[in-house]
Amino acid sequence: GGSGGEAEGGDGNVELTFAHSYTQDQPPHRCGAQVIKEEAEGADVGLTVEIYDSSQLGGDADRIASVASGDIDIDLQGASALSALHTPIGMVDAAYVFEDGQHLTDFFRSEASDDLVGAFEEASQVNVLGAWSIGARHFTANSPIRTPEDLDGLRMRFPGSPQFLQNAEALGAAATEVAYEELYLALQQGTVDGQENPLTNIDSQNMAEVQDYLSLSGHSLNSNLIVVGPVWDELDAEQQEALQAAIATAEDRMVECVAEAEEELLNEYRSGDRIEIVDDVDVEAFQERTDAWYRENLEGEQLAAFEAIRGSAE
Amino acid sequence: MDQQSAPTDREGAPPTPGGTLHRIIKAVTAVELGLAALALLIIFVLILVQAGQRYLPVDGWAWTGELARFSLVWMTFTAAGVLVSRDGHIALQVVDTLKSERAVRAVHVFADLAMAVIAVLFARECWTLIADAGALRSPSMRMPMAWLYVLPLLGFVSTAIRSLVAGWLVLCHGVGAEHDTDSLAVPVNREVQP
Amino acid sequence: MTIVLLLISIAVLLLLRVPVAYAFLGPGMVYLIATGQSVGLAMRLIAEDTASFPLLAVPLFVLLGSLAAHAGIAERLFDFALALMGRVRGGLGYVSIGVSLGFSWMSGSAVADAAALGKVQVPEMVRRGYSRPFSLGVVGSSALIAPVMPPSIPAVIFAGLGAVSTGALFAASVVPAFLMAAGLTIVVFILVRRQPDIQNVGFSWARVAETGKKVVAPLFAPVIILGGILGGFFTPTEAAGVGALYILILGLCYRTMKVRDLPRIFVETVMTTSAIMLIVASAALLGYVFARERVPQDLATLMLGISEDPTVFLLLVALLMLVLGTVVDAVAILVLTVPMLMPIAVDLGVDPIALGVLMIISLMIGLLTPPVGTVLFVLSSTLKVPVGEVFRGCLPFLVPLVAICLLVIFVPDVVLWLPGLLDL
Ligand code: NA
Ligand code: NA
Repeated sequence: GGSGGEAEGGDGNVELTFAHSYTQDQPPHRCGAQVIKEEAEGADVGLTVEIYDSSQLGGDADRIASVASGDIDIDLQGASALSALHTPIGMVDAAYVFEDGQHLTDFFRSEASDDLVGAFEEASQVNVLGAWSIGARHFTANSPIRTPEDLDGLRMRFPGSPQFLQNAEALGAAATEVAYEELYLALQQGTVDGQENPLTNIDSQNMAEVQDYLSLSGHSLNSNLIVVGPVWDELDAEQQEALQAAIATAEDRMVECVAEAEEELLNEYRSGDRIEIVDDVDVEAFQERTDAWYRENLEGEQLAAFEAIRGSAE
Repeated sequence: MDQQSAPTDREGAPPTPGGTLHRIIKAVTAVELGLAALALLIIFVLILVQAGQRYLPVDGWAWTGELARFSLVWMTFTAAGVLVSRDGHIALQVVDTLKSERAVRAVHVFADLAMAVIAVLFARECWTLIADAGALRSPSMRMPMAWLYVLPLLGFVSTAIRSLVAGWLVLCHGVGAEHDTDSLAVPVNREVQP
Repeated sequence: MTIVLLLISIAVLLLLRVPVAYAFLGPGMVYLIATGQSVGLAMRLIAEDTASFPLLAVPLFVLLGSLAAHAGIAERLFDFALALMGRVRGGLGYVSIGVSLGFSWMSGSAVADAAALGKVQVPEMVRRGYSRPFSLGVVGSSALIAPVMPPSIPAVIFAGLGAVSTGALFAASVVPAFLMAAGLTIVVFILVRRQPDIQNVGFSWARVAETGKKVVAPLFAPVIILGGILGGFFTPTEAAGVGALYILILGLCYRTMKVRDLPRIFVETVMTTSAIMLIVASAALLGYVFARERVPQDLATLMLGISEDPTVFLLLVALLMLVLGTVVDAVAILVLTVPMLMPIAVDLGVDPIALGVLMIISLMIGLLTPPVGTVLFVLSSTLKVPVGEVFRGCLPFLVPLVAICLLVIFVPDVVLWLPGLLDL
């Protein structure tokens, strides 16, 4: 049985196991997972969804195999993590490829993503039913980062996956490896000079306490792909449609929800004196640099994915 | 709570040192411990490298952390078998205080059998993960994830065999025999390094 | 119902002497099979939990302790402490605590500490007329300072599980560790008054200076480890490696350790670490089963139902740890309970660092209580004395340890003061 052995009675009732890494007050849970659950169950087509938040069923990257084996039915996975199954999908997390969160969601809804998603699904045996951004990644450091030159001489922590390291190179940063668990202390003690993460992580790790500047570079739209395992083929047409519709509703909600949460956080930072917000990052300078770098250094399917995404921008 | 102090007092007739069984166990042990110690050395060196390279004008290698983490898996499960022969697994020893030698012996045999069964189940898991490995590769080194489970497979197979051997020895020679199949001592349960 | 069956089968297996790791792995696996999960899930879960970056500090701190023991550092500390306390009545009792306190900066586990120190000290104390239970008790109980004082293996594990800063947890543990030493000292002070037969050794400044010189370099190890972390030179995991390298070099310089001893030290480290890590891994499998069965939510409802007062919560936690700690291995308890207790603590506004220190101290007390008192067993087997006698000797020393738990609960500033001071 693909659905983690959950009871699938003769009446066509299916219980779906939905796992993700976020806490109950972060947007991907409140506006993503919860909405999918409510909508799918409300459609009254015999679907129930059990959510396991906060990595209860295993760490982020560790759950990918569980989705493929059918022990987890639905999961939220970053594209960079999924690139362990199929490298090109990581380009979704590349620097400055999307215009904004809406563009990311629209790209996956459009035909422009068909080749990339098709190849990924073939390699991974996992279905991609949608995508959203959990917020753009920004730099924090003890000095403002406005231009690529400002990164010179800074030891910046990037996540240890190839896509993020590639982003670092494209942006012109010297990437240093520190485990996420040790990052706060490493920033505080100056073991590394800065890091980059979406605002929701910057907030949950209290990085404002140990960094002076938050530079709003928005260089990568930390993605979540909504992936569904082999249970997808066991659903009847009506159930598939209901689940797909539930995901679409959640995608729309996420765009608003992330924007609201980020606005609220930025206001909080602006009114306090824990960290200074740098608004005037020269995004164009970064963009030019990364665009040139990717076009020069990418090849094959990775380049195709990059061009498909860039081509879908208005 | 009057527990017998050193169960080694209860001597059985251990297999003759120098006998074939003894020699085989020693050789296998050397290989298992050698691999596990190598994994520890890798962890030690890689962590020092990671600490050092921050102060050197070289680029960080992204794979150091990942290889160190995988080495911890290899070390842990490769040494699991040897822990059986040396009674190094942490276990509740209340039963060793039973008055009846036969009862103590029976419980030891049961525990060894239970361990063997569980080890076989996990060896099967490892085998499945190696045989049906999908496209999944590790993020940094791009190592096929099937490789992660090769040494654990060996460890669990070794655990199963060693548990059965230990159980057999206890059945034939008494409780004292099972831990004398190996010469070195471990500072867990009751044996302590000199 | 499922969970009750699971717990019963684990208890039965444990009683029947099945090792803790396998008593967890077996029923966990049966659950996964019974609920139709795929073959391979169990192995993936335990491998993935083992392959965690913070846990890399475990083998490195075990290596550090093993190297320190082989380099003869315990003996140097002993000589120095003895020279200092030579003329004090019951001096060897204080010496034992002092040595444990010094060695605790290099050892992350009580078992390693008891093994390394017990063999030297207990015979020496008995020879000088101290009663055997008293000698065993002071050595056994002061061994508990090692896992509380940084570096601490339980702290590394807690920090990894609870996503709190290892450095802050280390800093928070320093004051309680010293308080433990102080509490044990009071018990020694009371007990030695009733022992008329003990002989003292002499005192001379020359001896103090001579033995003191020999402990300067070893006592620099904690400066490297803690200073390295707090000064921003390396992360806690890296500090463990650098500390081990330092002691290795020291041992080679002292010629108390030779390069050809290293394979043996490595094998020792591997065996100890593997035994610990297998339990971590197996407890993680059980944790997955609990999560599937929504046990954390039920436990939260139960605990919050009793009271929503943070102090009551901490009291309940300490009680739970003391009870569980008598029968189950401390690391296993941490892996199982931290993910469940942490959200409740956050909900109630309990500081995660205070929770960590409290859990570690109250769990460590379990090392001194039957039936699974690992320190009792180590002393019993090294010194060939019955476990019961070791336990009787340890009993009076449990009083200050429990008192410190209560102090942490009612005056959490004891724990939070130093991290606050260091701005952690
Ligand atoms: Na310590
Ligand atoms: Na105990």
